[in-house]
Amino acid sequence: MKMIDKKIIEYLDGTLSEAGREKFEFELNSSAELRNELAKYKKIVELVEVTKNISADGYYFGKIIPKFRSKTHKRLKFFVPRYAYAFAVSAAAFIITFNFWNGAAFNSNENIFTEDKSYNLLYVYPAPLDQYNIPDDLIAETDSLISSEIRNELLASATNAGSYLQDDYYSLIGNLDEQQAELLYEELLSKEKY
Amino acid sequence: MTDYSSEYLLVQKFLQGDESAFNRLALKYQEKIYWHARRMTGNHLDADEIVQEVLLVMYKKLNTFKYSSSVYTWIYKITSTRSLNLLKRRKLKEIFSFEDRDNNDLKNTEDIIANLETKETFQKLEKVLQKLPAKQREVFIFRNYDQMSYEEISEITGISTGGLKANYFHAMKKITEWMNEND
Repeated sequence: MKMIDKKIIEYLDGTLSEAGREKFEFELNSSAELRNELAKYKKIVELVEVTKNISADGYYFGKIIPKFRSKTHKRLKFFVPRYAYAFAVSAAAFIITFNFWNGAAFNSNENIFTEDKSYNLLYVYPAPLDQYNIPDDLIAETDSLISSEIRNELLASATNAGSYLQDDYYSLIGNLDEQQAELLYEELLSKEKY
Repeated sequence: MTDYSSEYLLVQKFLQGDESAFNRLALKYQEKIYWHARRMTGNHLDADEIVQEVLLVMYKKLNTFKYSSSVYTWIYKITSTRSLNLLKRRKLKEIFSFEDRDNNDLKNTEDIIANLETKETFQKLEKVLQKLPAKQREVFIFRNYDQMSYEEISEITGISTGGLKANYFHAMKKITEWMNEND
């Protein structure tokens, strides 16, 4: 059956040679089966002919190019603003990120002592000594010890350490700037005392 | 017989900046593009989408047209590619979607065929065509509706004429069987 189908399809498709077509038409005359099979395929060919030239809604085809043009026009209009928009968004994101990280770095310096706080060191550090009722004759010695502690710390960190050798701790503290006072305060508090 | 010289002229005019030349080219081929896409996809909405896609590709890529083939072949190549791509996308959607596979029934509510009698026959054949594998359907459409030679179809699809004839044979055989079953 397959070979018959192939011949029929080639015959209807017009791809049989001249000789092949003559032979087929000769076989058609003598074979009812071949004619029946050919009729089945011819039905499809007829259906194709009927559906080849279809009358369609002309309004639709009239709209195709205007629809296309409106799309290309929209693409062109959006082209420049799209890049400007993308640039603006990127710039905004960059500025926000930059300020965020800069702000975080800035905030780490927030613990700098105010001027008041640096003078408070003068009152806070000696305070614990008061509660122990140290006799007067020992206070001078205690003052000396405190001065010596502060001086040692300053010597360990300061670049112009020599200036701190003679002063008592009031003078020492008074000459410190806010940042130095804070660092000194932290260092002394972290150490074990007598 | 296609007048290639006038088409080349339209292409050249468009490339020189004459937008109306593109419109004339589009007007010449829009129905062919639509009906080829319609028969490939089986519904009006998908065919409409393909028409717009093909026009856009033509608009953007006409500057790459090499004049080694006819404009006609070049446009059909784009139409064929876009149609096959849409069918692939549709198949993937069917695989990954839990919805009813026969979505074409929903899309068939919008149609542009004016004659009701022809519409019934057209839709009957359209349903049967949709059952064919895409490549067989394509050859059948190129051969019977676009009335192309196997050499032209080979140039468009890249398939050998022998392969095309084999595809055509299988397509014709299956359509005949299915249509006779329904009668």
